Amino acid sequence: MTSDELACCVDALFTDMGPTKSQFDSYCLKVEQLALRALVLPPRLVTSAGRRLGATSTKIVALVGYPFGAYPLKAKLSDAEETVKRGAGSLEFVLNPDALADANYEELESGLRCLAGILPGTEIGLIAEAGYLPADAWSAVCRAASENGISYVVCTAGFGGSSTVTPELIASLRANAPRGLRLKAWHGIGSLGGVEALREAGASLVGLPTLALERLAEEAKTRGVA
Amino acid sequence: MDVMDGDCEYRFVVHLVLALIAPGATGSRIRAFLNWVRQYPFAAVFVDMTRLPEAREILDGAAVCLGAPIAHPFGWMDRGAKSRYILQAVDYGADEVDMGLDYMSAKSHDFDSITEEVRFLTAETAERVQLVFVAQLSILNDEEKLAICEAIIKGGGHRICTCWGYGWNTSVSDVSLLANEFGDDLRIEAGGGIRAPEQAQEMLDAGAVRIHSGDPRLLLEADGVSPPDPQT
Repeated sequence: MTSDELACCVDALFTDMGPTKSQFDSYCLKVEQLALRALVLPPRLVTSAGRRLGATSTKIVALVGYPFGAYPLKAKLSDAEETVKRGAGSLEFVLNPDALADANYEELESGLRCLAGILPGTEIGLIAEAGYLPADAWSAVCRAASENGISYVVCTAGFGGSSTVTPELIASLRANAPRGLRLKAWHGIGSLGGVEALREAGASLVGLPTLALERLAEEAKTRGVA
Repeated sequence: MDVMDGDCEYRFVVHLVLALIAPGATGSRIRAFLNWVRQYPFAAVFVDMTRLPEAREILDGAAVCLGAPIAHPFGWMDRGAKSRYILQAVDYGADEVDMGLDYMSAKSHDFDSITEEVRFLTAETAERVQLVFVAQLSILNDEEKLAICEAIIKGGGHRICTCWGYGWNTSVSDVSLLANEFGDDLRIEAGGGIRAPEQAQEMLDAGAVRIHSGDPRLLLEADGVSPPDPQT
């Protein structure tokens, strides 16, 4: 893996509850040093992250509806719009798992149409936990994503019941997704080796928790990546 | 104190807050669960916000309170969004809301920010819904635990739930700490990892008024209540 690959396929995920504001600042610094593709974080931190990373090439990606997504569509769309106004360059939007469990794909499709309509030009990723999706729902999500200009689908975000994402799971999801649709894997990945294995299995993007950045930086240094 | 309901004497049921917050749970599973819930005098039942309208219909006429969690478990929404979601939950039929707080501010010892958030949410919504602020004690030290509760009280809140669960568990000593410090100023609901009857009883004896349990099978058994179908 090269530093260019880090910059195009690895995201840092700020999804921890415990850090202080100063720890958040140090995570931002680490993301900048590693020149990662993106920092994914909750909407209320978008402005702070913008102040710290605004001058870098790292994208600021806001999570909408994270982690469970079981909020009314209208409310999530409103959050998405506000978050972009606040400075997020990209969004990751959690689909409503209840609607998917009930095979209510109308909500999925109308939601994606609305998102594309109110936020033209914004990079949008969908979060759809493969761990709890019914068999038909993965195909429906991928189809709707492809038809509505969604940039990628996050298929494992850590709340789907499995303890970690595996290359086998990614390969299986890849085999059942349209060719042009990018997949992103999160959850339980803590090393460059893990990133590489998931990339080889078919993940275009990989997310690592901010808590793993120190280790990633050490590994990158040892391997001469960054 | 045990509570009588007809011929039944319940030790835990009347204190229990149940939840079916399970990504991937189908509508039929939720309906079966709620139809089981309405047979007993549980303190409250929580469902995803998107399930509230149907839950309200199913629980029509039942004594159990209906609630939804908001900003759970990370507390990450900003105040405006939290307020909007609460009002939407009320429109959908919620009697109460479990609300996540700004835990980063708590860990950063910016408790004025917690007070301001609670004051804002209470002012905007308290007349329409019972707000329970989830203090998430398991990520805080003792000093921080007292400070976050003080901040909640200063902001006009008077009900807390100790933890969200999902591995963030609560302890009897936490409940005792808060009950001794705040007495009647704070209504304590214990949540997170409570499964055994002895554990629940200790929480109640220490001053908790409610027990949140995502896995209440042993508590139900202790009260002679058949749990819902395993598929439910």
